[in-house]
Amino acid sequence: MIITRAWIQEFIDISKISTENICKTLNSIGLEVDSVNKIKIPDNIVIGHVTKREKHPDADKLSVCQVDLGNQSVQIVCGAKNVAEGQYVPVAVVGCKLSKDFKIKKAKLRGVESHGMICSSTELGLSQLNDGILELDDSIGELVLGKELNEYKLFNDDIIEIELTANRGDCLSILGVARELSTCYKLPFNEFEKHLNYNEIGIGQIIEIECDSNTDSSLLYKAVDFSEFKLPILQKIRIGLIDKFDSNDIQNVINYTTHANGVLFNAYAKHETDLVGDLLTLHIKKDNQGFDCVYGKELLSTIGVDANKITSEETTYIIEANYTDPDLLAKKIFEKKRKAGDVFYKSSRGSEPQIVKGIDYFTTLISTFGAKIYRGSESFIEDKEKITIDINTKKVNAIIGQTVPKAKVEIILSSLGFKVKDGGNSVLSIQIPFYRHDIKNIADVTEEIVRIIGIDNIKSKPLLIEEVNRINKTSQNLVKKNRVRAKAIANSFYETLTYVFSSRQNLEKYGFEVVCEDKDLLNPITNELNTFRTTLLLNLVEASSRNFKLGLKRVALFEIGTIFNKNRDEFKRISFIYSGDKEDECFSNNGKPDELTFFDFAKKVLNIIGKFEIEPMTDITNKFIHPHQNGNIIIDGEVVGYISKLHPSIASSFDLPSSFIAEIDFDKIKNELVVTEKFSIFQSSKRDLSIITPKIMKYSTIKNIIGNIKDDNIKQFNLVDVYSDDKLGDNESLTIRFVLQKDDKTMEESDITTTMDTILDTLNKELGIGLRV
Amino acid sequence: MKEWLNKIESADSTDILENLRVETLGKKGILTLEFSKLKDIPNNEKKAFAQNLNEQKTLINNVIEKRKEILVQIELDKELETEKIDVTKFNSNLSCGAVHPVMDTMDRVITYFQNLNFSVEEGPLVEDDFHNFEALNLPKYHPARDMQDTFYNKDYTLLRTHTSPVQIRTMLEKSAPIRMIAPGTVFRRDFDITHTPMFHQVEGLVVEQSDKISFANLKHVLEEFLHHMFGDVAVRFRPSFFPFTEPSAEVDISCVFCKGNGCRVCSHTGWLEVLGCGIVDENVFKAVGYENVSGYAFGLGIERFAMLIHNIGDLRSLFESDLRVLGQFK
Repeated sequence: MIITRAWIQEFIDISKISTENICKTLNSIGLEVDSVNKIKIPDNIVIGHVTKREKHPDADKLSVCQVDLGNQSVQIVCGAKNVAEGQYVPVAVVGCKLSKDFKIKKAKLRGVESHGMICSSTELGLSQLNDGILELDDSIGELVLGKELNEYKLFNDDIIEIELTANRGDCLSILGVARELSTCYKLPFNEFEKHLNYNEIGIGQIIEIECDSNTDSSLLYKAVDFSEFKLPILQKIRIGLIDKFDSNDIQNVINYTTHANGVLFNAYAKHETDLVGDLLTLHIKKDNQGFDCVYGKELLSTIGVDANKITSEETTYIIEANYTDPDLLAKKIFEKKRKAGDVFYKSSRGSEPQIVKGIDYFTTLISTFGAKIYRGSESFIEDKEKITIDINTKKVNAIIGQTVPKAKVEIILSSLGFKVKDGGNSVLSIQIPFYRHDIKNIADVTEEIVRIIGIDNIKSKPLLIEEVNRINKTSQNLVKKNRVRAKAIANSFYETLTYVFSSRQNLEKYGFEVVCEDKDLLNPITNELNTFRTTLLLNLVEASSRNFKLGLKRVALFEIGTIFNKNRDEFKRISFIYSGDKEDECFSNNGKPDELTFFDFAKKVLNIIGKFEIEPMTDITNKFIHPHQNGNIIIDGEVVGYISKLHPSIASSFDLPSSFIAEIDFDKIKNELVVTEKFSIFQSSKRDLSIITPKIMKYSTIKNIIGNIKDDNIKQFNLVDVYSDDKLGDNESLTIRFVLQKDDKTMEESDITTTMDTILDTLNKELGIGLRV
Repeated sequence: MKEWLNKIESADSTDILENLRVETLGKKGILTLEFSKLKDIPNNEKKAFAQNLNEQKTLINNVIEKRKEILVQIELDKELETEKIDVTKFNSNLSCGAVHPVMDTMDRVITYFQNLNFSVEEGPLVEDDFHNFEALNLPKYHPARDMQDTFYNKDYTLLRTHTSPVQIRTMLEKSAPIRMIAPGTVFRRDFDITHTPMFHQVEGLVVEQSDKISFANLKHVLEEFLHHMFGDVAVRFRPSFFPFTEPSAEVDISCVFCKGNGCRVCSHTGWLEVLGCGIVDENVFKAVGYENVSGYAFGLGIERFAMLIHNIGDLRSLFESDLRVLGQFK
């Protein structure tokens, strides 16, 4: 909503209040000021009078004009088609700086001297109002030749743009905002005087309105002869300012009036109406969806939904002012899934209901611009009773948290146009004006009080609370999440945040699950984000790729986020990607760090999420997985995710070096309190065992067999060497280092031998493998 | 004797010193040889002779030990010198990762309210119309639905446009009093320089018995919170409109960049909008079957906070995993 000082000034006298102060007030009462701009026409643009216009001797498109500037007369060569003798025009005189690098100088145009420039509206920095120069009239004030244009208020005004909340339809007009300001500043409202330029003929002799009785809207009709009508420049400039300028001046004056007083209008040209005998006839009836419609020869407008567009050069019009209950209208539009025109923005938020006043304002205005009004009007206005609600001021005070005396509440509400009656005790009976359809209950009324006394004047008060244990599953998960995040960061991974959207095409291309078609997004924002992600990895691979394109040599990312399955159920995952070098390039690695290996990566993930085992995947589910460097991540025997080298062909298609990925079900990561075990205080011994195994035998098989040996002396074992050569053929030699320790005494050599023999015997018996000889 | 002592004192390695020790005190050392003369000494002189030898022995021993201590130290110093490195070659580039600024800001907000005894609640991202709109006093035809460009799914569910549905879920599950925040991911169908289709909010809700909760309480909690997050800033409340609260307000802080003097970031107003809040609308309580209660609610955008706190210019960069940005948060 755009207001200007000068325009507001027409309704209330704000001449003694600064714009800054007005903005502060608007903000404090809930009309948020979005921006404040000054219109200021440059200096040295003055009013001139074209006394003579002649054709340029050497150029068809130029005219040579003599322009009276009051104290002097100058010759100006002008290129505009519309320049004419007798016009009052804005003249940029020699020396005027129209913009930073456009200064008016004395010039010769095709051999003819020119001392200035006659300006168009755009050259003045206003919106375009016509082709050619701007013709001035006395709507801007008395035209004094040679007077600086910026001495006129219109050309030196403050434009304030307000961001209105959806409930404040009453402020979608200059009048509405002025009404609010008049309350705040206790300023009287300038009532306009109805003064019409009547036609001799009564309305009944020219028009006929047939209105069905079931109409919901309030309607008021007038007939107008626009043949002598001329819209002054002031109105045109203002309409340009609110970005509503139209090529048709009747449309312009309607737009102007709606912006000024909030009433919605329609104008119906003579030829559009249904001619019944000599009478221009309109039929108002409901369409099949129940909207109030105006028909002439055909459908002309739907009240509050689609306005009638004026396109002809017609001079006789039926003018309609209308109002519809915004809630009713909005509900119906939604129910019927009807697409509504621009007018719906205002009508659904509540246009000005005082249509009688509204049309009086309109007809008075156009009368001064030469239009003739046919006497009388046709009106279809239902007498609706104003809503009255009782409020308890004690309750109001409880909501605010501070005492506002009853008398003050009364004053505030009265000044806002509410009719207030004392209901005894703490009760006030409040009648709500039609234009405040948003006020329905005590909370709404309290908001009005809060607005006007100013929230800054409410003293903050701490709330006394009862202590309660608020720890729940969510907060415990947060603790776990933060612990895991901290470990991931310490292990060189950056936390990332990516969209939960993905490209369906890409997910399918890489073999990932997709959300089933009938549960997918209906209105995605782009094709790249047209479905729910079913993995975090695609986003991470893309993110890593972007970073490599920026020249990084090592990218490690993780994300904890939501993914979806086929049924669009939500799951929390933690995913990792590590691409490129194992460490920084530095002198200790001669600037050539090794690449990370699968085992390095797995170790990092292990250090982050806690203990797990890896078993090769039996079912490779997507194309990111390397066929021979992959594994399921297993916690307590349950598969909770997978880890893999990124398939090299995928890596190269994303311009990535050797990369590793893992995706794990976050909820399956353990977060249990530690219960310590007794530990032995006796010396431990280490023994290595080198065994020959077939290469195809998984180490985990051996590990499990050893792990299941019931010998308390085996405290720990670890693969320390893997060796193979031609002699070994399809076998390899594994060296396993054991840490042996007794709980009750120091181990003796015989104890060690017994344990090592048990291990060897078991491996031999279970797997047929034994010592390297 | 003097000669030996001089030799010992000028020995310049532990090896030489050891040789000298052998030459003096060793099995065939001169002093040892002197001792062997003892048997030939007349008995009455034996005592004095032996005493003299012992004194000499002690003297030499002491001198050797003293010298040895010095030489050991000198040799250790020499050895350590060979281990010398230029510690300034230390690679001071951190090789750890970093928290994401949005998540970090979210953590700070959560921690703050947890310290004020708020519980943390969460809810699903895919919501239905009831929890996201209807129960929050946003009937289907309400013009305020324009404010929230919604992602819909083909089965008529939607992606939550705010964290407020968590309020509804929590109230439906538990009875008053309630004191909760709901941090989470939210979605609006908007994508330009100041909007991303996904962002994060933290929602707060406090419900107590009738007349207990006032706007003054809401003001208090938010003023304290904003001072915690932004330090010494001015806080301003502007009346506003949200369907789920009445009265409602938007909360501004004085611009953290220009200290309220007006700059590009605050559109020369000196103020930055950071929060929305209000007294919970009766219709919201009605929708969840609460009676005789009062409450306040507030909501804030985490990205906005993170951008202001860390001086991040481009919202979209927060979702691009660009290590030129994230790398600064180590």
